Amino acid sequence: MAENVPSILDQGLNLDALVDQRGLFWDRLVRVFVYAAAGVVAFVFLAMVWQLVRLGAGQLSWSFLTELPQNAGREGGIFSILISTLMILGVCLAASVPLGLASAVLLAQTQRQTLFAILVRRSLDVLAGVPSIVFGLFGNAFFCVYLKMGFSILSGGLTLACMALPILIRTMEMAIRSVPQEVHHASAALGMGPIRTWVTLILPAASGGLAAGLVLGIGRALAETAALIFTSGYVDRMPESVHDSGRALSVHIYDLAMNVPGGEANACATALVLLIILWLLNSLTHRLIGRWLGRRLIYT
Amino acid sequence: MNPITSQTTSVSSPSLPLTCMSNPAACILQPASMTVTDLSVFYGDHQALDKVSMEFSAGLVTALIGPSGCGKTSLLTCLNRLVQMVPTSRVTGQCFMDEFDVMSPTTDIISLRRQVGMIFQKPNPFALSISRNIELPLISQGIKRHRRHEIVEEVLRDVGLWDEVKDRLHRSALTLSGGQQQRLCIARALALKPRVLLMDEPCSALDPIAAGRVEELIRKLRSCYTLVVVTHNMAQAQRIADHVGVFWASDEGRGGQLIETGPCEQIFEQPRHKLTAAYVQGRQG
Repeated sequence: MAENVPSILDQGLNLDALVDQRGLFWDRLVRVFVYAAAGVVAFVFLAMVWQLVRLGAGQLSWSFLTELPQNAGREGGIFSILISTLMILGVCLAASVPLGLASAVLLAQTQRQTLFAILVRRSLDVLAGVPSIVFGLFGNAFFCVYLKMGFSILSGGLTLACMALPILIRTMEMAIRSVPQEVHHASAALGMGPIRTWVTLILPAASGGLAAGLVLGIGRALAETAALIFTSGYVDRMPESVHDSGRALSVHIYDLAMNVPGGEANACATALVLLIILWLLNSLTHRLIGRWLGRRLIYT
Repeated sequence: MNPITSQTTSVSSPSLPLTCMSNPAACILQPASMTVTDLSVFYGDHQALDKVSMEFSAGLVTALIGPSGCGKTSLLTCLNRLVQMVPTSRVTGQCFMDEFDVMSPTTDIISLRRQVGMIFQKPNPFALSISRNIELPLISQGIKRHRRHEIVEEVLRDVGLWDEVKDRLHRSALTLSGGQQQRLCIARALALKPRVLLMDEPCSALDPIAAGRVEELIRKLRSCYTLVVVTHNMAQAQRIADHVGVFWASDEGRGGQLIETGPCEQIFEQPRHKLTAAYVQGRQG
């Protein structure tokens, strides 16, 4: 039977004619572009790290981390600044995570376009685009002056919370929405209350996305400079409580690089520390939140 | 009757009789009858169901048949009020479980849904271990761990799944086959000791053999539970149902209507409505 079927070769067709040369060209071009783009991104990051390592790695030592800054930061370490940064971050997360998660749950649950949901979403979009210096001015006017918190870690952390909220809420909402509606229905049909459903099923299923949102929020908070100058101040001494003023790592870098002649090396060393903290916190968040929330879920 | 089901009868383990059958005293709740009167369902401006009145007798299997989009599932979701999870939905009319007003605003929905279980078209086990799938709803009822483990074994035996999964209770429920998943979902619903079990095309996502086993299970559950089964499979309705309700989409866009209801034999052998006759003979629908 196979002999009766004329094959392409029997008919003397040129197989090369079947290949779309133009398509192949575009295919290759796009491939080159995609690799080049990814390469550029990696290059920028590596170049930055190389620069920091070249200029700052010499300053890095255990004592750099454990000593207080001296001579406006030209000498000594960054211990008090590390502590201030972590305190500011702590205040920021303590305020923004509960608020963000609650808002994300609400927004993810409103399937209808209610006026309230539209209003909240629109506000978040606008807030996400507001420059940090404006948040700084707002934080100064509201937390420092109106609420009489003064220049303090508390004011700074709360201002950062306002800044991190939009991105936190949006990513968390996406994460929650990605959990199929079937899970809600299955759980409701089994007579499980909403709180149990959310705690045992929905949030664990969304844990990966929630952790990603948290990472973005932490990143935004650690990277912030402008908003903090107006709110938590730039005193480089050791803070005694959240009511004290404190200098964040990014503010320290800015100050050393711009205002302190001879501070460049320590600025680069501080930037390296900031990068390492960011990297540590990111992987830690993914591991802890993702694993802990989703610990009971098994897919395979 | 059906070659597939008669085969699977021998395949399925001659497991212990259903808990409820073997020991009726252990079953505190008896099957309940459900009645709906003038029930209409709207989703926004769209009407899905138009003034349906019918009764689901206690301990019997009622099959709802009819073409797609004529409100069968909507009716089903009214019986456990899952319909209200659709934000735009609106229900008028009455629905009673025995003397209990299902639609009343004071109804405890959680307790209602424990008594009126539901199986979905697509098996929907949680991404948890097999045993935890069954335990989770029990935990929310405050049942102690020791008792929970007993119930897990009990209901898995009831659905004929125990021998297949007893060695891997802590593996993910998602590793089970589609048919096993569906039986797990039925087991999960049975663990709550419901009085009524709603099934929305429980076999349509399954292969014929798995469907046969679920169907056989439905026949075993009869008389212990009131069963309401939506199905597109006419032969299946004939095999499992005591009563049949035939739904048809109304011409005026007022959603599905109940055009005929009655004992299974009557619907399939002496239908009174001409659409029913055409539908069950496969001429229309």
